[in-house]
Amino acid sequence: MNLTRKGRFIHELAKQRMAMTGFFVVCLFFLIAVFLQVLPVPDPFALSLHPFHLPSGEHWMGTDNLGRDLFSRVLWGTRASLLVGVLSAGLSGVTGIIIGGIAGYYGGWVDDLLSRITDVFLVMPIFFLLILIVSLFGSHIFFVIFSIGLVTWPRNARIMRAQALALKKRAYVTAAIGSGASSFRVLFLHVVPNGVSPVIAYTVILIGQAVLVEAGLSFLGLGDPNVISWGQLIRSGQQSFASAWWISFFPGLMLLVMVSAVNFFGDGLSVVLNPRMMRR
Amino acid sequence: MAKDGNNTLLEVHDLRMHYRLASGAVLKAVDGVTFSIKRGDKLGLIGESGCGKTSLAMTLMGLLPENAFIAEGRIFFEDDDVLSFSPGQWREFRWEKVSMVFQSAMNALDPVYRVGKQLTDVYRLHRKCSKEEAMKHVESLFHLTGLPVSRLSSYPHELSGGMKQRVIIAMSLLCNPSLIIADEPTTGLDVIIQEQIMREIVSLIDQLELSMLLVSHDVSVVTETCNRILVMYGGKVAESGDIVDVFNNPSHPYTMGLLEAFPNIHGPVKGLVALPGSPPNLALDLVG
Repeated sequence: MNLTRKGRFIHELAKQRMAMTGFFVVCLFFLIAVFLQVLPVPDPFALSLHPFHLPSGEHWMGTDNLGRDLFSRVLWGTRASLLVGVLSAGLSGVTGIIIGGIAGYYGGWVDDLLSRITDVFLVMPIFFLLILIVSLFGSHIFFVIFSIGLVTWPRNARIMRAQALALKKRAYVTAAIGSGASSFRVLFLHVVPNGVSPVIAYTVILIGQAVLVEAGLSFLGLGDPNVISWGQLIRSGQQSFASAWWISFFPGLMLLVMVSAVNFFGDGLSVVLNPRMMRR
Repeated sequence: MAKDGNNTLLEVHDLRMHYRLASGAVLKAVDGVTFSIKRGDKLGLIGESGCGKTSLAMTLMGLLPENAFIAEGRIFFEDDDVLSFSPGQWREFRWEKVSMVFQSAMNALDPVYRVGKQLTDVYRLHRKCSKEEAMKHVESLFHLTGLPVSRLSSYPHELSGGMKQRVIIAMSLLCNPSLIIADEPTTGLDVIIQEQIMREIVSLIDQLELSMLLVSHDVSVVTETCNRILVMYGGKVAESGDIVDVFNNPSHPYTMGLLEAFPNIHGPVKGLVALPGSPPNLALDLVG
């Protein structure tokens, strides 16, 4: 097979059915989140005279306690959930790569220091730390994103550090140093690109976890009250669950679909990005 | 070749490079080595595995492993005291003055970049110039080393061993260095390609009026390519001098053994001579 590296990557990924399905579902959610304003759905804030309306032709997922269209609100929830998921996972990935890369590549006391800091974050009970941060600094959505990133980067840092430790002994790294590259350049242009695959795979799976954590926070009433998110919707249907099951059911279903899709995609990625497959 | 009276390019004086082992012991990989390279010299550094050849080459490039240190000695390159360099001076020195064809050159290319990009990057690191200029320079080196220019956009895994070797050689020539250190440049290649590559290296060195330090354990490669030889044994210099003199009159028992250990296809069939015992353990202090 005479494929380029990129071609081979896409080819291998396409063979992973579940991963591709997951990928398309995630893409669909992305499209919804981006083109929300131009979608022909009712205003999610518009009140109507039909509260607790069963799913029907007019209201596909029924209406909530104030008569607002649930389908529209679930779609709007996509935006908040994806925003939180992608940004916090991205923050976690970037922080992990930088800290883990520096620790693994430079070694010595730098490694000792950064690794101990990583360990401290690693032993913290994530959810309680989140609750603490959000209740201290407020529940604006960016605090939520920041907090999730803050408590999830250590695992990425560990992965990156292990990669850097192994890669810095490679001949091409010595060659790069020997040809006059600075250590910063060697780390970020040679070590990181070669070792970043497992971090990417883990970060994608982290998107799903972050979405769940945000839903959990919102469910407890610690989410951003100005943003419609799936967690908020589930919470709002909680009181009337016995009589109007659909208010919690549909956002919960979306949550399930999205997190599963992200996880399938992430699993597929980690198989395809496996360094043993990358080499040939 | 020399523009002035001073003909000496590299001078190494009583160099001692040691490794600190985890056990606390000190391994004397390079233990009091003195030699010099004149402009135009092709010096063959020869010895068995573990005698300190590669350690010496790495010291000259300033690429010491974490647990290595220089106990004593001086290195002068064109009158610069190399061992007193700051990290910035080292970065300039490498590739501008001395470049290296790495041992295991097969793995010396980063698998995630196209080879053209890797070479232009290195060039642009040293000469501030546009991507186009750098590319032109790299293309000319590809011509010089007999590589098709179309290979610039290949990834390392798409190249054969011999091609990768040529890329590495082209890379070592990027910045017009005065000295090229070739550390077993043909390891892992078959004999035919090995011969070709060595011929090409030598013709390039002569053509560009460079000097070379060839590190090898293969007596035949060194005799065919070098004019001077340095035999190392147990971290020390066993013998050095003009290659013809050394071969006709080996004065150190190790050199004699080394020459005897090479099969002669013309002479009568006789058993190869091996030195009794194993190479000295460099972590122990040797008395005697």
